[in-house]
Parts: sequence; C-alpha cells; structure tokens
Amino acid sequence: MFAAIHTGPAVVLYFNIRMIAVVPVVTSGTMINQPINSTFRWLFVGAAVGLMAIAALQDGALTQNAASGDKDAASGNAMLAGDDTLAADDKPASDDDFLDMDIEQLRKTTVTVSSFDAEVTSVNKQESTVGRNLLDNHYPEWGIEDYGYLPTKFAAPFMRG
Amino acid sequence: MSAACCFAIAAAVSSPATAYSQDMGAVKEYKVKVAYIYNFARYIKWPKDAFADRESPFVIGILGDAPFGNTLQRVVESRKIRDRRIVVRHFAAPRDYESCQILFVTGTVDVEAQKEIVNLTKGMPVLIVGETANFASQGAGINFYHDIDDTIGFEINVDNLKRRHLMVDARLLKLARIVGDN
Repeated sequence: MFAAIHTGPAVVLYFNIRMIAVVPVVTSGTMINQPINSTFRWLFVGAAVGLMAIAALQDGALTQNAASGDKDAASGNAMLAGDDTLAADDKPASDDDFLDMDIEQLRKTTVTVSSFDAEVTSVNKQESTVGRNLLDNHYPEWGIEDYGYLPTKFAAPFMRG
Repeated sequence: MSAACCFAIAAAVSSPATAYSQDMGAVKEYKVKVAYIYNFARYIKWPKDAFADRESPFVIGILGDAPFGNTLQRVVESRKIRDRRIVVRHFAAPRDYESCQILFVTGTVDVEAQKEIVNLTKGMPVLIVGETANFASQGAGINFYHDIDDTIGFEINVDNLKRRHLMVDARLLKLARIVGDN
C-alpha cells in the first residue's frame, strides 16, 4: 500500500518531468533497504505533491514553448531538437528578444566563444606505463597492498623461492 | 537518514532548469552583435542629408561574409529606426558599396579592403562598425572586441564620428572604450 501511494505520483512525475528514474527509486519505500518512519513518509508525500505541482507548471510552459516553436518553424527558424523540454524562462532568447535588449544589457551579456578561439586552459595528465616495472604497481583488485613484490603465483620463477 | 540524503540528491537532479540555465546564460556572439548594430542606430544621430528624403529607408550594409547570415535582415525588417523602415544590404567587396547609414565590416574583410572602404566613404555620414583589432584607430567609428569577461565590448573613435558628422549619445560613450587615431 505504501509503495502504491508513493510510486504512483512518482511515475506520473517521471512522465511529466521526463527525468531519470531516480524519483521512483527514492520515493518508494520498498526499494530502499531501510525502514521508513512516519516522518520520512510524510516528507515523501509532501515532496511528491510539490514535484507534481512543478510538473504541472512545466506542462503549461511546455505548451507555450510548443506554440512558439511552431511559430519559429513557420518562419524558417526551426529550433533544435530538445528545446521543447525547456521551461519558458530557460529558453534561449529569440533573435527579436535580443533587439529589445538595452545597450547596457548587451554590454553585460556573456557570449559563447567558438572552439577555434577558445584558449586551452588545462590538459589531462597521462602517464605511460610502457617500460614500467610490474613490481611498482599496486594490485588492489587482489586485496594485496604494495608490499614491494608480486603474489607468488604471478611472480617470476626466480622470485618464488 | 540515507533516505533523506537520497531524496535531497533526487530533488537536486530533478530540477532541469539548474544546469541548463547555466548553458543558456551564454548566448551566441553574433546575436549580440546584431543587437548592438541595431542599438547603435538608436544612440547615434545622422545629419539630415544622410537620407535622400523622408521616405528613404535606414540602410544597414554588411561588407564581407556575414557570420549571422540573414538573421539581421529577418529580425529588423519588421522594425523601424527613427520612423524609417530598415533595409539590409550585403556587399561582397568595397567596389560594390552603395549608400548606407551603418556599414558593418565583418572580420573576413582584409586590411587592404578595410582601408579601401574607409577611403571610399571618407567624409560621408556612414557609421562604419568593425570587428577587427585596431580598426577603430584606422577609420571605423565603432569596433567590437572580446572582453576578458566573455562579453562583447566596443570601442569608439569619436574623431572618426565627428569627421562623418555623426553625433553620439553620451550613454553610448559611457559604455565604450574610447580610442583615437593611430
């Protein structure tokens, strides 16, 4: 019963918000290997209701986005796939919106620099293992600390003693 | 307690706006420049003889390959500047130039062509806007530059504007980096 109460809204949320299935996992008490006391139970119920409200609001926003997307498509400015999942406030401003920006706003607007112009600020450190002595390595997967020698079965014959 | 932690993580993950809005904070450079060009027309005053008559459109010319394609034309065609409809013209080379009020010289135009267009329009009430380093010191009225905070700034050569009988609003000067002739 508890699971039904909590997984129901969670599934609805999953389809509304279109996010990963972490919410059903968390909100259903049966999927957590710990007993849930009444405090957490009410916490889950409250949170689920709150998230459903958010989902409902986002549905409204999506409807608006779909309408504006149709408009853009009609004007030959088809939007990229995936844009329809955004709330209205998170959508990139259209070209027209930029024209309405004041010069002071434009001056503060951050722009994306093309990859050709972007400076490389960091590199990943990579070490070659070529030529490295096996004795220098650790073997944690065998539960063996670095004792300075290999386990007997992997050691060279002259090391087996 | 671990359940509460899991829920907190889920709540954080479930907010699709969080990560995406950060990406959306950075907008395309060309859109900002198009908006700048449109705004320059509002903050700069052209002499009356810059237009043939009252019905003459406000012409924005683009010299070189336009990085923003037809965006400028599409977004401004339904608008007006100082009660004049806006027309966008593209020029492949300086020799193709026709009278306009704002001429955006794109970064694809080489230095020689820049000098050529500056000389060709010498004394004319044309606001030349560039996006090449030092162009404002070599004939352009306004020149875009990348600021260190990832914004687009602009420098103004007031002397160049005066020579072309263009009056610039103090609000524009306040935001600009003022440069002089070389």
